[in-house]
Amino acid sequence: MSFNINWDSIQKESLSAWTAELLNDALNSGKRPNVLCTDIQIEDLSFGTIPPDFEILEIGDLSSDSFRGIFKFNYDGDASITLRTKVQANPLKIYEDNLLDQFEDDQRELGEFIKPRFVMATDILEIPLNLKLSQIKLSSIIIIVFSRSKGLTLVFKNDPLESISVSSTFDRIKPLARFLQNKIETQISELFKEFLPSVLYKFSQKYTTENFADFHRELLHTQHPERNTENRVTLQDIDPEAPLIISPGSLMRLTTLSSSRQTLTLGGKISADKLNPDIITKNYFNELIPKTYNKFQLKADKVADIAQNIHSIKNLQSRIFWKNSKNNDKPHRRVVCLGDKDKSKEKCKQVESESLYRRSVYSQGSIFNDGASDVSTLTESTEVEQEAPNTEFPKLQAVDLKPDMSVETIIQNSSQEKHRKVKPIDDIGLIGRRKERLRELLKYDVVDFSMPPMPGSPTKFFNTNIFHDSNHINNGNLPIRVAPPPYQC
Amino acid sequence: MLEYMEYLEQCFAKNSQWDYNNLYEHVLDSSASILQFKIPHGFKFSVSSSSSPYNYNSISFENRGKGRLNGSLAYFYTTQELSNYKTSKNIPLQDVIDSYRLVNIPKNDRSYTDNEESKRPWLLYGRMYLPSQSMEAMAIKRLTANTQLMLKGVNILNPTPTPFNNKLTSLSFYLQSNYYKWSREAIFLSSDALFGLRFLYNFGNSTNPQCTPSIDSNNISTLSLGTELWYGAMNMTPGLSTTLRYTSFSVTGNPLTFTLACNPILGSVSTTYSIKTNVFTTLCSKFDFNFYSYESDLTIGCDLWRFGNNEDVPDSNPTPLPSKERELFIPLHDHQLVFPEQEKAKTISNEPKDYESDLLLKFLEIQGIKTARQSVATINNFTQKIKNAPFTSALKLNTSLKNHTVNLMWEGKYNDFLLSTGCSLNLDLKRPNVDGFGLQIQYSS
Repeated sequence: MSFNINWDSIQKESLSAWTAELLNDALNSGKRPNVLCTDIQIEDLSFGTIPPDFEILEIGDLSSDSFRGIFKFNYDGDASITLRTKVQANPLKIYEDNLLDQFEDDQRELGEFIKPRFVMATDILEIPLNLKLSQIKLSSIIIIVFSRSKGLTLVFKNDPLESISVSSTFDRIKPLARFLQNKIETQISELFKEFLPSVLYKFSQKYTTENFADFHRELLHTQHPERNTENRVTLQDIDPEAPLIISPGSLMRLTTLSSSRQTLTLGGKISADKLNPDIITKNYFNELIPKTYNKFQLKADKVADIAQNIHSIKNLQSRIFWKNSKNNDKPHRRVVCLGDKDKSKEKCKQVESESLYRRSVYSQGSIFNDGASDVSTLTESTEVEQEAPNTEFPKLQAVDLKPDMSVETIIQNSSQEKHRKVKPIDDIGLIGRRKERLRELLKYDVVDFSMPPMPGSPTKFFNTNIFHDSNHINNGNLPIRVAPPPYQC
Repeated sequence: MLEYMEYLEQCFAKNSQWDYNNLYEHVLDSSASILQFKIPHGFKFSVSSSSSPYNYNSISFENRGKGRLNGSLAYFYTTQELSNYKTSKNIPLQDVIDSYRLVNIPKNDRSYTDNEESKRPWLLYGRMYLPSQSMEAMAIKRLTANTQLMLKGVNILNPTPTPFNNKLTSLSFYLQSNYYKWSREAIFLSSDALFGLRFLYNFGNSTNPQCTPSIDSNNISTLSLGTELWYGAMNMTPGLSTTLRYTSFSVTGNPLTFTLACNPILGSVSTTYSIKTNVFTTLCSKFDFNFYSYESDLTIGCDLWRFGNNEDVPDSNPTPLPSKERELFIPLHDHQLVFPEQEKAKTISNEPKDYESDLLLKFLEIQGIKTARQSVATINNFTQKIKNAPFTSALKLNTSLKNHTVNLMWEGKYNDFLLSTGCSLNLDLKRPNVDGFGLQIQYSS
């Protein structure tokens, strides 16, 4: 049996930050000794590049929830740690604080009573102290006992610290440096013997009793892995047209495949974590299903196909019309051709022969009638222009089609233009029966009409709008020429 | 505000002519009373009474949050009758509120007459705290007219108890010698065997055969130099500081104190300047600097005294002085207050009584003598006013650049009760809050 621990992965920024935070908490827990003025902060923590030697001497007990083993541990690497704090330089101030610490909170008065009143002798002098511990040499035999219910127990058989190099801001003052060196050596061996096992024990208890998933989440939260998705294949890459069209079966298989790749690595891209967004899980699958099947979303790139859609609508419309008409009536459609008499007639024929339903009447090419004209003339014309006949009509502008435009916006744009130029049927000045008849006639006309939406107005008007637009889109084979309006068709 | 037992101790000292201000321990008291006052913490109520002029006792209750009620019982006994003791109903506030100290060092040493020799007063004091059953005790014995021995002790529950020793006792001994020219203290503290020595030397005080209680032109100003030395024998902790104090009066009679304290071991220097700008206000400033760390701090504070709106309000129009006297006085500026007691007590000792010397003075026109005399009169006038003013409350506040806190304290009298309340406002930009708040009520009969 062997373990392969990648030392380089320990050297990660996130892990050292996490460890530093852990150590910060451990060092500053409990009451701060009076010799320190501020908390101890870890300035720098590096695990070094040389891994420690770890030799398994004996494994006594190995089961799913308990473990006991004896290891040999050797370290002679370049790990280092830098601590920063402020120390109290006045020994009498420390003495005074220690004296007052003997008295509990509700006995402070007694402390003040017995303490002599110092005038300036207990002034505060804080000296910043930077302490770097490096060239740590460790060698020891460790006994590790782990049980799921009791946590982790770690025992050093002998004093693990062989040597350590201490450098501080007081290096130039030799006696002080020597004092610090001695003090820290004893403190470190104390730390290994008592402090570290107790901290590990507490730490392990915290996580053996807690949910393991919480532990993972917390760990993941502290790390910030750069989510590099450059080389990853996503569903969008497979089918950019319809990323969501994937059969549930395939998705299921994909999920199984990806979960088989997962390892127990903590916090990586393929970690077996529920919340890992890089991995397809069943949750993701469940989320996808409703999106795929219950919604119809018109994509931006589908807008180009609108013309085709309209064409089919047109066909449908005409089919209904022919089905319902009994006496082979032609639909009441009028085509107004513009331009010269001859040419326009030619064009009209051409258009008529092409397809009846592709015809349309443009409002610009309306026929002018006198105010007192008869009804038949009126019904023939769909729009009435009240301007003088010689008026130059504004040029028809093709609606700019952009891929992200929806159908509605196109329709709106066109209808807005119409509103400026077209007279609504109500304003023409007809009354009673004539108006009704006009309406009736117009029902069958697939012409642009541009009525403002009236209560109870037939929905066909909406369709006619689309119809008009479709001609615009297809105007490659239907050239439109704007010319002064003729007086007759 | 002074606790009842502290007040009794001061009464005892005054009664037995023991000058606190001549000890090094109290060299910075004027500024400390304004810049380092102690804000009461939690709620405290104490009732005290004197069963005889020799016996006093006090009971107090205290609640500092945490849902606990602490109490204490205290007894005080002295062999000398405390004739200057006053109950909380008629106690003048300037006796119980720490404020600017008028340093008035006697011009000659005390010496007991044969009658007094036998007295040599004792002071015994003990207090028990409940429910912790901790004890504190103090004994003061005057050995000679200028020497006294003080013994203090506490007995508390050991915070780290052992099976055989769950109580902890600390004792301290003070041997104090207090002469007009100098004072000396030897101190021993039993915890970690701390030894201490304190000296204070007054410059410029010439021996005057006649003991006059009032200030005269010879000692308008006092320059004192003091030092303290500490050594903890068990853990080898040294300590040292030295202080220079200069107290004087401005031309308008306002007392002022300037101190320069330094700690040569730690390289820190602290200067304070306190002035009583008028009867109602004291201003104080303190500047600290450290030569090693270049850290500095500026602390400023003031206290404001108030008269009540009862019949004791002093007459704002002083009764016109006799023309000769008025001529001698410098105009009294903003403190033109004359109190009834002062009217009676007004004696200008140095004023020439006889016609001849008066004539001589006028004839010679010795300006120096005249101004000195004038200023002495002004000073006496001013100090008398402070002593006799019927104050009803005092407000103290201080702030410092380093801590960003404002400390406020109000002390006053309300219906025979002595009240003291205060709070500490933390003006930290990130999260301003109220740090400490407390109320203390005292009643004594």
